[in-house]
Amino acid sequence: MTATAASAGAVPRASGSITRQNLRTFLSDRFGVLFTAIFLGFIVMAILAPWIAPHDPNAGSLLRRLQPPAWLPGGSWAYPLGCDSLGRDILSRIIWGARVSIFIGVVVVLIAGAIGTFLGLVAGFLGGIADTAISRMVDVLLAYPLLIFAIGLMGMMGPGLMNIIVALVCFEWVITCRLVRAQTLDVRNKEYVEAAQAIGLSPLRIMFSEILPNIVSAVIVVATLRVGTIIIIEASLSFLGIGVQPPTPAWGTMIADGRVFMLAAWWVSSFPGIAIFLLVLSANLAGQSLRDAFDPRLTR
Amino acid sequence: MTGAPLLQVRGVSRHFDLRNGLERLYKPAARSLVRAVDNVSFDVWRAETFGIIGESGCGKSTLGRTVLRLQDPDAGSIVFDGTDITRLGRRALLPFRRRMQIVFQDPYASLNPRRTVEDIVGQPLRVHGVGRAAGRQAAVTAMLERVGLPAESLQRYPHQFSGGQRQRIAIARALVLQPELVVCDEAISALDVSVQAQVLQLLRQLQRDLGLTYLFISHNLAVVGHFCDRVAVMYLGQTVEVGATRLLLAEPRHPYTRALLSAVPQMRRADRRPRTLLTGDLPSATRPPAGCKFHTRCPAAMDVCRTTPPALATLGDGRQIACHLHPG
Repeated sequence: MTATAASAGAVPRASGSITRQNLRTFLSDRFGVLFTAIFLGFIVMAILAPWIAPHDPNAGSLLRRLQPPAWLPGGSWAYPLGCDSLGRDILSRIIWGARVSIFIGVVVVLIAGAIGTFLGLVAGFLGGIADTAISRMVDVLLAYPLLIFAIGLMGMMGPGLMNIIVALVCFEWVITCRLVRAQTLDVRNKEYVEAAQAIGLSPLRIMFSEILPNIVSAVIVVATLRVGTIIIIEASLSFLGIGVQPPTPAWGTMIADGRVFMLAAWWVSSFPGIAIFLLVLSANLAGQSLRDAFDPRLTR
Repeated sequence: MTGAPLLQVRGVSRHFDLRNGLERLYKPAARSLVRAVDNVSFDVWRAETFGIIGESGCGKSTLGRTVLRLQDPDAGSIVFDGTDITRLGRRALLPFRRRMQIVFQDPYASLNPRRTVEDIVGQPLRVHGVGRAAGRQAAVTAMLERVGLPAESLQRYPHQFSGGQRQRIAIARALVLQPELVVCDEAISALDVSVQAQVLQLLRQLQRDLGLTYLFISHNLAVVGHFCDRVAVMYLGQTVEVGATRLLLAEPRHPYTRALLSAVPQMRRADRRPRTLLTGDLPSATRPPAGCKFHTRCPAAMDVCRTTPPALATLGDGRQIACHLHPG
């Protein structure tokens, strides 16, 4: 009902502009604001890890081996979430692990977003052979299950932080590319693009100064939503042992380490699991409320 | 009408291939080609208003865009002020882009919603490196004033304006480089009737002040009759009759022009023409009829019309017509 009323209005909403109205919509969504705050909290935590972590994440002591969380018998408030099988402080490792997860999530989405945006613009605007080549590549990559594709690449390149980023970017650009291509196809038939051609703008300048500003908000929204997915995949790779290598604290590795002691010491695996859950949930909900506020067209 | 025409269009065709990449491998081209513009020729003289009318889908807009090289013609040549611009590359075309501009139909789609008015109207100056920043701003302000927009519009965005005002912004953008030829592609069709009159008035005023030449594309016979010096009537991508507007409106010769004119409602009984009702629908542009393209709907069709396409002949009164009834 409201949608028809809005579309009948005389002045169409400037689809991509970030205005005060957008901000107001965003702030009025309390749920969204809460989860955005949690997400930002994780980021702050990751940045400040060296100062806020109570202990060295890699300092272990067999005296504290599998020490339970503070509120259970045998626990102490010096190690609030308990210790793992090597006696390392779980809270400190979670705080440091946030760095890895968020760094990979954000960097992958940024690099893949840039590549995907460029290729999507080229495919959508130039069409023809460029479009066919890029679109077929996208189709082929989409036919692979993402995790298996990443496992295969990691198997070839070997584990390591840089390799995870490369492997994930190799796939992730497809998501942005597909979105940008579709949006470009929509925008490039607008008469203002033809007007730019009539003025004599080069194709590159039309793509970046006429089309891109009109689709960038959709790209930002989708990219935010993808951060959560990337974090899960990184955790999965680390869990499988082909991601971030010990002793670097990563949530996926922590879950894998605790797997063996699940019945005896549930806290070793559970707390990193809860951290992943909270981070991904807050990233997704923050992205969703961003989407609702900035790009109503994408709302289902 | 002295000297050479400003714009010479010779045998221009523009085809669209409806097949996708895979279909190109096995489907014959002939059945999937839309002949949007098919062998069209006309001249436009300096400072005149040349109208192009026809039903929707007859290729008017494609023709306008092809003339400006926004689309590339598949055949024929476009000569602007003595230079053949048909095959010029983007850079070689730049000096000509300065001299010919376009005003589009939909002022809601023709202005980039993310740019301010100053940005939109100033962009042609920046692209062509005209003047310095301060001089450019002065030129933009002057042009806005000329099209009747207040100077405080500069920092506003298109969505803050009404349709008529937006069209004024589009006109300002088209004129800021001081072009000679302006293609008005249904430039007033999307506006309210009262606003249409204002914008037409503005276009005429600008033509007088700046010596502009208009290529005025429209489906509105009343507007064309009022506004254009000469007019070309198009049917299925071809011009069927070209001549002075007064002549064509008073004495249409081509059966299609007659049918078109008889469809205009007249207030006074004495002005009414016998109504020529066309039967049937517009034929598909992918499979135009053989012979004269109009013969399927023509009330005066003869045998020859079904087999031989009529050539464009010039009559004694200067009009050109493609019809076997008027062999010249």
